[in-house]
Amino acid sequence: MNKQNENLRLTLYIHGEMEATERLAFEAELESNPELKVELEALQNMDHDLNDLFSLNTEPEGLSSAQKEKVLESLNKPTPTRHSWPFYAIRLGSLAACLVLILMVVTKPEPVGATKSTVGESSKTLKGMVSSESVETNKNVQVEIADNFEEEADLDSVNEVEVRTLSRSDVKQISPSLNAPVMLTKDKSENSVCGVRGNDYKELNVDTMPESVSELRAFCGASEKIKMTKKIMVCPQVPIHRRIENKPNTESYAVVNESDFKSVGSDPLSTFSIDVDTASYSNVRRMLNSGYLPPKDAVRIEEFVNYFNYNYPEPKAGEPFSVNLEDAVCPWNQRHRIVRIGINSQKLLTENRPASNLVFLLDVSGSMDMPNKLPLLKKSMRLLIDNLGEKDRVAIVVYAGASGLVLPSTSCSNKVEILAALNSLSAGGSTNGGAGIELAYRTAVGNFIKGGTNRVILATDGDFNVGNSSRSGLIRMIEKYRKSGVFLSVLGFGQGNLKDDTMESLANKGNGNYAYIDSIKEAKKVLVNELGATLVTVAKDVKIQVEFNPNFVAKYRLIGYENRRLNNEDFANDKKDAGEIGAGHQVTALYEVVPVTPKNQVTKLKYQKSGSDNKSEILTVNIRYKKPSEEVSSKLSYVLESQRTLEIRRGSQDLRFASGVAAFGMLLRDSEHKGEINYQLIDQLCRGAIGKDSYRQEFLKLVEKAKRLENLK
Amino acid sequence: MNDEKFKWITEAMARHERALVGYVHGFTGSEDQARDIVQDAFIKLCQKSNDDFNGGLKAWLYKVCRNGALQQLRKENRMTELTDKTMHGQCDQSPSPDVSTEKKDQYQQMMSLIDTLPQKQQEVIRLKYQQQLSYKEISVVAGLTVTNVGMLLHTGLQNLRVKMNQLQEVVR
Repeated sequence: MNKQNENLRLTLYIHGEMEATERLAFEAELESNPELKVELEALQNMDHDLNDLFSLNTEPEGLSSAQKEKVLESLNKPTPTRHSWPFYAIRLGSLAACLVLILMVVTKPEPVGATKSTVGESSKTLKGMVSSESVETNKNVQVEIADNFEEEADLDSVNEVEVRTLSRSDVKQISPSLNAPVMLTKDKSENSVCGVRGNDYKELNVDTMPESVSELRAFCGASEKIKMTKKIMVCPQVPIHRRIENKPNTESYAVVNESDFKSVGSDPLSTFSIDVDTASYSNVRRMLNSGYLPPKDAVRIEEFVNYFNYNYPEPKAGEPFSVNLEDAVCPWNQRHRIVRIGINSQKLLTENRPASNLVFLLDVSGSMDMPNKLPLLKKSMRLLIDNLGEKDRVAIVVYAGASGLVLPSTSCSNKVEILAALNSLSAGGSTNGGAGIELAYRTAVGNFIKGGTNRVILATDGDFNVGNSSRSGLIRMIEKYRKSGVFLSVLGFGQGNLKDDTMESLANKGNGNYAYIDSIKEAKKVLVNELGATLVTVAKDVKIQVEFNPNFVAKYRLIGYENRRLNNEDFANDKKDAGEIGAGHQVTALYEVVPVTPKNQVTKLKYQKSGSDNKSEILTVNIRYKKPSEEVSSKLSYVLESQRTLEIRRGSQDLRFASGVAAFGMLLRDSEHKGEINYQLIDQLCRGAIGKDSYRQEFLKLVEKAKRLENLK
Repeated sequence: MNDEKFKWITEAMARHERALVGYVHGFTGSEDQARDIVQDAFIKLCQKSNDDFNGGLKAWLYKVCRNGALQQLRKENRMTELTDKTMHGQCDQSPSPDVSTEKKDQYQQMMSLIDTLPQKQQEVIRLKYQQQLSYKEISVVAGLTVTNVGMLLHTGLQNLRVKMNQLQEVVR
């Protein structure tokens, strides 16, 4: 017996679909064949997993009582005659109009019993419903197809059909009716073709669908050339269902609409808030490492780019940050340029760090009870506490069904007590994030250190499922407390339930940052190496406005920062909230720029300010920021001079790496602007720009992984 | 007689309605629409009698619902739209908490791999594991022979296994 048949028997066996006698014989064989037994176990494991997988979802609600009543009411009505196809055709009105007449038939049906032929052959199916890509055809199946069915789409006409083999291009040709449920047939075992012929309606409902090609032929008039009209209906090919319903996953991501190119003629200014978040990168890294490609909207390109450290110059004395500009030919479109804006804030030596008043707001709800959530959270917090000094204070608030103050604000000279409180935490109950946040902010305000760092550190998987959990309600509360000078950091943990969108917007509104902790290594990066950046804000409400020189730039596109865009007039409006920058934070923004050519030159409007004929400057970057304790902003300006256009490979390592990372993000998002981006290009861009940076090394591996996952699809 | 039929229909509804709504939901993506389609199926059932079925009631209901769902999709011209895989969105159902994290990840992988199988294989896997139908019932619902169902399931599982193994290698 060949191996395939053997495996087929295994499948039948585990599904309990074997006849009793066959079953006994098979079991005897299993005993004497250890190899087969191993196979069986592997298959059984998968069978269990599949059962579990699908049992994870709870069933939805059934019919409403009104619907049930309606069903039972119909019992009292006289039983109508069976619905025939014309009935459906009329009932479906518009549907009937779009049904196309087409019929494909196996010209050489196999004799009965053909299903016993080998598995590979028998399952070849012509996939239909004129969807261009999904057609498979093979030499065993010849089909008839209406050549010009569009003209014949007249309900009453009956047409002779030409016999030919359906090929991929045929399907493309008929694609104007892409959505029409064109009929399809069937595999060699000739079993699931169903169809009706237009004019000779035979009653065909679910009970009387023909079982085989031969039956179908009986319907259609048993000739090689089959007559048909557009009312031919089919045993429908299964559409691809929306998979989401099956996924044991309730992660949610806000939709990101990618920014488009803007014309300098109409939009010479581009304004956005800075963003120091990095969560999107570590979250996507977690998904790729677990073996699946991320959903599009989980990829925020600016957070990818800002995850990494760049070699930017230190700021000048008296300025909170330095700004550094660079441009080169755009790697994925030779006619465009890529412009990098790099911002680097002053690093802070540990001894200079101002006193901190920290309130840990920890989610201990049931959903946190997983190895990579609460235990990792505790370890992460321990790392942070280890790095705090005697002048710092820590309080711990937990929230689950009820929220409570586990540890009142305690000086870090008493770390033993803090660690003991931290250790005592365990998970249970549902989550009322709202009440917890309120209590944490009140605790922070009550222990406010003037001139110091006052911050609530929220650690959660983001599942706010009880109480004041509407996102807007939470946000209003956070905005209220932001004005009191208490800032917010959000640390995301775990997976399967991550409310990425909620957490990001909380951090944005709370003058804070959002990081995703997927490992103790990441905790170390965020809470130890970048402790200064995480805790100490050096500038708040940092806004960037780029003015493009119309003599040089025709169009531009900001890569990423989709949810950070600001209106141009908000730039000078000090009441408008924007992003914060912490000590040692770096922010990188990339623009893809279309240079002016004789063809795309913007016609200057007569009354627009004529400006200068300056052709030596590409753009000016204006940055507004406030010192942490002030409410009036200052402005800094920087100019990017145009030079000889540089090839990307001659650009700095930072430019090459940042564009490689952005390209990776665009590829994962399947961006419409991805141009010539492919995995090879990303590798080329980044490989020479790694240095000794272990995070950059890891990035290369991640790109490789994504590429292989892509190939698996 | 009417009392008896009333009881029969009521019982059939109580027993199958939720699973059917879940099943149709997989096609339409809308629970309300799914309920309408399931309601129509039961109204059709009212025109039948218990004797018509001989044990095949469940399969019949699935088949009617499947046809209803596909008709609905056609009516809305959504056949192609559905090929866009939306990875997230309207899902409110919470996974049961007692499944370990690694398992969940593995399930997620499996689910995304099932998406890559040929459609017929996907459908039989879904009918088998999600709806827990027998081969016979699947054959009625999907219009296949029992032998064919067996082979599709077998091929589907084998394909899935190969893909799982490939994936393990990539992840490693």
